[in-house]
Amino acid sequence: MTANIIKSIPKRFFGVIRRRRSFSATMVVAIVLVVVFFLSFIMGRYPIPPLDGLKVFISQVFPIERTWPDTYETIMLELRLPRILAAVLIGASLSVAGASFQGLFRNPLVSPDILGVASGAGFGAALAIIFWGGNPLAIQISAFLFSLVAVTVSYGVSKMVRSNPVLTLILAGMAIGALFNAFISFLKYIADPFDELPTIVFWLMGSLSRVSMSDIYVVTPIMLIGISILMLIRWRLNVLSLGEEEALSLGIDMRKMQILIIICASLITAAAVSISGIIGWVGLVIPHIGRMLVGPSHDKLLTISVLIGASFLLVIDTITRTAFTVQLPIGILTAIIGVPFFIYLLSRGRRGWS
Amino acid sequence: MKLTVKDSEFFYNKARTAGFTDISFTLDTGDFMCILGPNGCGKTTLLKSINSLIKPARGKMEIDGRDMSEMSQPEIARAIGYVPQLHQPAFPFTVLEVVLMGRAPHLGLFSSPTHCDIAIADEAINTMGIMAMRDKPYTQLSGGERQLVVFARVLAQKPSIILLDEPTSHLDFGNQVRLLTIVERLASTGIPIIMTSHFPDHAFMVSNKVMLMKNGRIVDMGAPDEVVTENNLNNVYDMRVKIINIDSDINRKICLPVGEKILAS
Repeated sequence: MTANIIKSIPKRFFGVIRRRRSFSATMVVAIVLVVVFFLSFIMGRYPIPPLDGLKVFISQVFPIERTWPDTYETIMLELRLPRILAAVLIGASLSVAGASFQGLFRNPLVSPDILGVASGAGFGAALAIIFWGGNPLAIQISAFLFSLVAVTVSYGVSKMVRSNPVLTLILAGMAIGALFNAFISFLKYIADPFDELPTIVFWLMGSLSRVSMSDIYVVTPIMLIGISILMLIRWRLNVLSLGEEEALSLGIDMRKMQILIIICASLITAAAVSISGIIGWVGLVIPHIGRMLVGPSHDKLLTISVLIGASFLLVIDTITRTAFTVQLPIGILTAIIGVPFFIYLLSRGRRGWS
Repeated sequence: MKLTVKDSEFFYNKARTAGFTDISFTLDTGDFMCILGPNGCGKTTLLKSINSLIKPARGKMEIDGRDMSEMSQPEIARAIGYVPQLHQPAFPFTVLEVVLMGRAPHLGLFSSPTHCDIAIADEAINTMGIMAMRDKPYTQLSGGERQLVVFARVLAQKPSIILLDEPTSHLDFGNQVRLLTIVERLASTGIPIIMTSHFPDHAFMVSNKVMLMKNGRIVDMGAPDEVVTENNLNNVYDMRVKIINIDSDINRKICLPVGEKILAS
């Protein structure tokens, strides 16, 4: 009897560990995000001694003696802070939007721009660069609006077809995306090759170097509201991923949920793209990494996607700021660093897809 | 619990080829109805319309005197559990996660399952005798095991009526019969069940009511012994069928398809 209890102790202990695995993976990623968040302030072309960096943080809350040069504060809070916040917000937004869309569409190849968000935004930005003189605010507003136009048109087109709503929506999104890409090519063709064309090309590659604090103030509420709603309905994504009919038989109105998810995911993606340009790969692949860590259930998946997405983009942006003398567009590095990492995880054999 | 279906009709197209019409029946506590009929006769369509997955064009459906067309989808999901034909889900959810989804109609839009819901799911898993698979990925289970998981899910849903769409399809010879005993276990809880099947034998084994359908209409309805007759099966399946009574310790009727219908007989 006693022997049996003693024998069962390791089993019970590891039983608890197993059940807690997803929780601990989420904790680890959360800690990584906090560490990376702090490190990214002191890393860059102009490194700041960690102790002084810490003091600058503390001085924001408590009045302490200034023993560091003023330039440290300028670099950390005026140059780096907007970029760091942008990386965190954009990484989180793209990842959550990707995870939600993959669940809703039951498709591993789906990314946040499946409904044409990125192409619409690119068209809007190119339009503003050519016709409104490339004013940064005009570019952002135009990119944001046209990305929503693209999604709305995709959704409208899909509603004209009555059968298989999920597949129709993906196909409509691909078609509208291709159409806007053609519009972008046309604008590139007529653009001034010495001035406007390079601006368009750089915008399309994505970068966080032009993000200002006022951009952050505008996009933060949109992103926080969109992410929060998706986080609140995240468990229902499990039921939705069973397909329309089964979800309906479990009392969930697929069409209403579909609209809610599309609105939230598109808004946060549009907000992200409008300030950063097109950053590929993050929204497609972060959810897959999340599934490898915590399994496919969306209640854990969305939480960890927020954390991984934010950490990943922050790490990549810190590398672009630190390792290269030229400001490399972040959209290039997300794939160059992300792909080998993803392949490594794939080779470990945990896929999270059936 | 009482389900009443009156003069129900639904067609997928204007040519009125796929669908059903003039369907009326009632189902009471303890009833087990088996719907038989050839492919495309409207069995599955009828089940879906009872679950309001498609809205009947005509007629009336009532649960305990309440008109179903006035009930919301979560309300219907709390009253009627539906087990669709077997399929592969997109994500390898664990058995517990799949069973927990049965709690969806009981949860608000923004809520996730609580400890209470997990306890209900565990109880359902236990009832189906699959506790050992609780944390395994659903996708790695065999067809028979997966069917048990979906049964557990419908139990966690705690409906008043259960609809089963060909629960034995994709199962091997032995598992079909094993599954029927489990279906009987479901029925013994008093929940009325409607099950579609391709095997008239199943009607003798589990049901107390049989609906025989052809081309979207009811051909005959009543007790298995009265409805599952050689004449009726010949007519519905366009094939000669022999019904034999096995005496000895089994004491049950079995149906034997003989082959092409002989028109002269």
